[in-house]
Amino acid sequence: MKDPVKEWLPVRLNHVGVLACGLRRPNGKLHSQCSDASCPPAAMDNLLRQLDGSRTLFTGPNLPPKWVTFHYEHGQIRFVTRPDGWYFAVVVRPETDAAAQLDSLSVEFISLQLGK
Amino acid sequence: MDDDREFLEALGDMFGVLSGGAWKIRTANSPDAAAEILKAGDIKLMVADVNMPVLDGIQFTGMMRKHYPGLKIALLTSDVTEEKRAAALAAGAELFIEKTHSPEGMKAVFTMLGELLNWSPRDGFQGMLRSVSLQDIIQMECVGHNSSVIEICNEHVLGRIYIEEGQIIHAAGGELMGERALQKLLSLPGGSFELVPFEPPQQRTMNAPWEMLIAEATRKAGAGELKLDGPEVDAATLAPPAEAAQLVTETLVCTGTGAPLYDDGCQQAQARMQWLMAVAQQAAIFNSTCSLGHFDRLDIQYPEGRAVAQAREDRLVYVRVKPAKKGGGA
Repeated sequence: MKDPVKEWLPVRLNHVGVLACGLRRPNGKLHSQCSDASCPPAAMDNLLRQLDGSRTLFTGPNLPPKWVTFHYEHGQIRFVTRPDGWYFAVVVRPETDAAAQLDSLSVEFISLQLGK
Repeated sequence: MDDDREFLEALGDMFGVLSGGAWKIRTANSPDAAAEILKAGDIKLMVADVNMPVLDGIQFTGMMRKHYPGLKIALLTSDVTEEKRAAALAAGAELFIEKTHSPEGMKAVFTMLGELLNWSPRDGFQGMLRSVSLQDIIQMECVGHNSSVIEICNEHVLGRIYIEEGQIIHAAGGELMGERALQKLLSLPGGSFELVPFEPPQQRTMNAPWEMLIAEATRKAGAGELKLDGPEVDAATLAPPAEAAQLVTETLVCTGTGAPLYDDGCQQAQARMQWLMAVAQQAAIFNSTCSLGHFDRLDIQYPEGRAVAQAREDRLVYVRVKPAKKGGGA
């Protein structure tokens, strides 16, 4: 994929229930987009930064998770990390199509052909 | 146990009324709360919802079965599938019942639970219909001119066949009585039965020779005439239990201050507890960035299995689940 920020990320926002989503490139550059004022791009950038700082919390020896999901009363935050350094984060409303499709979305992100 | 507080309250009230106050009912809306109640003792029957967010009813059943082998367990679900039914029975549940919100449905569930409670272990042998033929047992009892009652049970049907001095005198199964009940019970593809001492039935519904009764049931089954009445007998839901799809490998439940309440397979409880507290802190940090309400749980998907962490003010819960490997240990 030439540029996931232009080609892949915007399509994710079209799913009903997605509040915001973002990508972190291996070089640390962040790209966030939102469809709901409750979670603006700046907040999404913060989430991605915080994830970077807390990854060891979820990673045991030789046991990196495929993804982690924080479930809250009014939303879910899904983080997906790839061995090549790309991260994906998405915030969705619970009990929506987007929430139901989080796993398939995560698998899709993991299998994307991405550059540096 | 159900995380739906409204349903839990309604069911508890209904059972309390239907039992005329004879049932002492304790309710819990999470597995850790249920574990505390069971730990306190004197619980004869546990009724649990299957679909729970952290530790589901089937996984919880497997854990509790190990610790309380005499506890009777019934699982309720609004999502009845063959996989769940098989997993529930494999985990040790005696009953797997469709969840109902109607008063009539709750009464039916109450009746089934009452039967289960009265189903006390007695001297004698037990068998599974899939490994020992029920017909063989009936024949053995009749040929031997014995008097006995065969109690048959699966998740939908509780039935009895009364044999007195070698003659089948009565049968009851579900809503059926007499020959229809006998045919129904003989047609079950799965379940368990127990041979118990004879007690006279309230009525006698059969007087034909036992050979004819058995032959007629066999003929009807062979001719496909045993299209059984009622939703309680569904061959697709009566298949033998299959292996549970998932295996709980680690469980830790602590109070909010870190005092352990339940520990199963957790080798470093202290470290795990500290990790749970760190998860709670991290969840709060994320939430300060993007306000989403109360934190409920963290779900971690590993290449093999998953872990769920719940950190509330009053409880810290960690559950690790791995896929069960067929034909060997996990």
